[in-house]
Amino acid sequence: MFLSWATEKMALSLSVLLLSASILSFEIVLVRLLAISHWQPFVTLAISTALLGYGLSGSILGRFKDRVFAGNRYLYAVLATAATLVYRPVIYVSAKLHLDPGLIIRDPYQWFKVGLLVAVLTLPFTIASGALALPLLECRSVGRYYGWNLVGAAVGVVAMLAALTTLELKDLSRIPALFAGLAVLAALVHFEGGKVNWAACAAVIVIPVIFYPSSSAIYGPYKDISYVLNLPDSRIEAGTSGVSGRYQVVSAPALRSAAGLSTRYRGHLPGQAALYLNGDRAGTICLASTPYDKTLDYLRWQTAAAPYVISGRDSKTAIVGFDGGEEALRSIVYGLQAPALIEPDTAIKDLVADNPHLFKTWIFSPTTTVIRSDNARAHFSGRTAFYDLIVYPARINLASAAAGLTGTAESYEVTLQGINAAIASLEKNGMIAITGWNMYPPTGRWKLLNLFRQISALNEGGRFRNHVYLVTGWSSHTILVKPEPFNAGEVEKLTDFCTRKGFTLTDGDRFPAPEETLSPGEQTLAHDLDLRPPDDSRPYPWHSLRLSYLKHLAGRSREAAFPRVEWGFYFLTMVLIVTTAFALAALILSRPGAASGGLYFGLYFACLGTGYMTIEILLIKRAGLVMGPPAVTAGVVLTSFMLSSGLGSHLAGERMNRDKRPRWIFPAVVMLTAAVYFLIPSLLKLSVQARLAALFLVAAPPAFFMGFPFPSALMLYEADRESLVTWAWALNGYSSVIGSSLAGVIAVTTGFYSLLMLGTVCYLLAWGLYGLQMKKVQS
Amino acid sequence: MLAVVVLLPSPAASGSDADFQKARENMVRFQIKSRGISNPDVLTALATVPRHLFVPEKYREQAYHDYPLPIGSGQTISQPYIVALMTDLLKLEPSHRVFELGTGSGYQAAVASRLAGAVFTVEIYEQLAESAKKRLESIGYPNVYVKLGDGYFGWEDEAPFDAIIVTAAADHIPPPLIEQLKPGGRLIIPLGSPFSVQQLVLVLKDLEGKVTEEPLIAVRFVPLLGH
Repeated sequence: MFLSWATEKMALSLSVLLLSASILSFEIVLVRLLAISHWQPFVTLAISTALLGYGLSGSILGRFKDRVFAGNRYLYAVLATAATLVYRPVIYVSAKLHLDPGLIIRDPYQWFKVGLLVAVLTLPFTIASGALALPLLECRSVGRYYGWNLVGAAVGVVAMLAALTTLELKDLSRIPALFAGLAVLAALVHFEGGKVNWAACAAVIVIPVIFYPSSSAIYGPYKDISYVLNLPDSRIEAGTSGVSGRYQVVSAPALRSAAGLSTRYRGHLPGQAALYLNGDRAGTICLASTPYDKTLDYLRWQTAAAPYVISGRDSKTAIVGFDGGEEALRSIVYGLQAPALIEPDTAIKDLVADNPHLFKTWIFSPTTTVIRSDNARAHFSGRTAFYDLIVYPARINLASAAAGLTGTAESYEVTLQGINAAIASLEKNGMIAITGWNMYPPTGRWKLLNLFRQISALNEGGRFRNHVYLVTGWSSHTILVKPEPFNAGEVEKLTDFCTRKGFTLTDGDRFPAPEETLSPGEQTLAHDLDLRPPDDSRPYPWHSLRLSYLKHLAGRSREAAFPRVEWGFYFLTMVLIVTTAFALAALILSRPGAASGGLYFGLYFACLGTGYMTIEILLIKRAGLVMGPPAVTAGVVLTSFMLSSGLGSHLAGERMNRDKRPRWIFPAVVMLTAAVYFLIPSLLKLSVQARLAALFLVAAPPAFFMGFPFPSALMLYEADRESLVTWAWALNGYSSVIGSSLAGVIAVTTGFYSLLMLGTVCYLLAWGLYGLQMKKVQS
Repeated sequence: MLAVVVLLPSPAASGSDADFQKARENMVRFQIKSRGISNPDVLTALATVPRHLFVPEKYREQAYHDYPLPIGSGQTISQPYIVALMTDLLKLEPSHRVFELGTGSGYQAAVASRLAGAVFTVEIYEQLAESAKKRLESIGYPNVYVKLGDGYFGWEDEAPFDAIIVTAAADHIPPPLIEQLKPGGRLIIPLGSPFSVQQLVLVLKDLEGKVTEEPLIAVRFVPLLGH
């Protein structure tokens, strides 16, 4: 037997690792599928349902603990096998629920469907994590198996990061099934005598790999790509999968985009294709043959052309983010030299390289567009290049902007520190241009103007004095910012440009304030606006409503309140409410009787669950500052966290007896978390690879100590330990559900310092509760 | 229980002509008048055009509800209020020639035809264009002309137009439509996408041919039902 050398425990440890990898990889599959079928803010639903599954499994095992202990290895194999088989059907059933995200705000029935979706998605997590909890019942091995569980989660993250870039979307769900199948195999090989059914083992492996049906995500009805693929003669020109998602290029004769084109333009538009990321429009690709094509003249009739009117032809330009190449093309049309396109997702560079027919205008351009695969913040912080013009195109598509879907996404490019870094990368007399959509009220512009007021280089005593101008069209605007004041000649050129194109030029000091813009009937709205300038501790430039606004949806003015709701923020709070309701209901229903460990025990594990998720989410969000695509950032931090916590748990459970377990780990977690939080910005000056490695390393120390408390507390209890394991497992799961959803809402509303405080309070409380439990046990 | 309550059909839309008439009156009263539209011609048009005949049979009972409905090819019939609002903003007169980009079910064109002299409408989806043409002919709207094609380029042979209505949301106003708008004409276009229009924009062309834009109320098209 190839595993004859291994001990039974090692085989089970391996099985736990694989099963945990299976759970985490299924969570990532759901994240990707929900982002494609619905919208990005729905990904929190995947995380919450996974954690809810952990909680429910603990409750169920606790309820049936008397039956569970007899032969739990068989139950382990049965549950793991069930997980193998249930993943794909769950995806199928959840799609059949036909949740309509567009109706959620108005239709209470959709909340009912969200509840159903949570229930369905929780099922595989409950089954698989139920299996995972079983080995923990072998009390002396709590730390070991809990550790392998966390390490397995790290394995799942790494495997899925690789799978996301190599596998087709429809095949992703094979990965969790395969992991679960391998987990069954590892668990069964040590069954005695004829109980090992090799044929069954083989089937569990073969099913996910060969016969497992594909699961293709269907674009939701509100996805931009759904409309375009429906147009006559539309076709997919190119596609690639990256860690950020699925990029597709679609062309159709009737596809035409020209954001905020002046109504005075009388020419034609070139043939176009559109770039989509997870079905959401991410940019326009002009299919003109050369940059001298007359139809490209439209690029001169948008507000985004304003900065080029006053830039010299020898200006060095940096463009932040790939918008399909439209902005680079504009700079080429204006004769600027070698624009640098800074785009963190490496998939874009490959897309351009692999599809030269889509980018002929660049190929036949006399200048070369350089794509730098890096995070813009890191690029500017490195100060390796200086620019005359830094352009931020309108990368958020109009539909997402209008619906407020991007308000909850971190963006470190347009924060106080981000703009300061860009200013520091400007040549003398350099300029920054930021283009966006006109929304009513203009909260985005108010937030940015408040941000510029915080930058000493741009104002004197709160007034811009010719440092900031706004060019406004009928649907889009471009804000121009210069550390050197605009001179009279430049203002004259801009005025002439605006007059000819039908745009309005406004001095930043004269842009109407909220009280001047909102009608008397809307003045109450001013109280619900969040116009604080975005900074690195609250990097949400597109979020502008306070939580208090949501109360209007329940009042008499709800009809009037609908148009301004940020859907992304609404979904975030909805997930918090629904999953918290589930967690609390399950918690109340499953509360054990005498063997509950008491109040200290319950509060302790609630603090651990909430604190762990708060700190994990905080550091993932914070790490977005130095890394590129959010999926990479989350992958690096999660892997580091899970591996380190796993090691910590293993040590706590195996190597230390009760007396040696140091209580100082709790304040150590708090101090190390704070240290990492403040250390992360200093990584910006490193190279991409060094940043990745450094982030992995710096996230490890707090996570290592965060692995200790769970097994440590369980090891305190000699009596009732078996009952307490399932209860602790459930408490940890439920509080993690609440912690993860709450962390998302807190980050957007009050910022990262509040998250840091919440994590700190949780671990300090846990510290005190640990001491109280020790005293209780000793007495 | 919640689901049962939500799924209960509207008592005013159970199937007979009298029921639909009642539903239409309620629609005008509670969805349109109550939101500030008072032009009697617009209200009369909305009260007379049988909206339920412009929606697929399976949605007929929901025809007068306060949301859009799917009509096939991924397209929708707009919320009644939006139809009323856009019609009102065009300030139509009996002598007016109107161009509509995006026929869809033909409902908007039918409503506009009650106020204007002629409505020229272009639909890019063949199936929708054909069914709208048949529907409008059978119900009796002789002054509505439907053409299959790309409405982005307007209808040059019939231009210029006193009013243009763009029912599909876009990120720019097609230059050919501005060309085909008469001096003194009005063009209305929703800014955004079909599920998340943020505002309606009114484009005015003065007698000298100068074009100005006027952003109107913040409005979000209600998402469609039934997917």
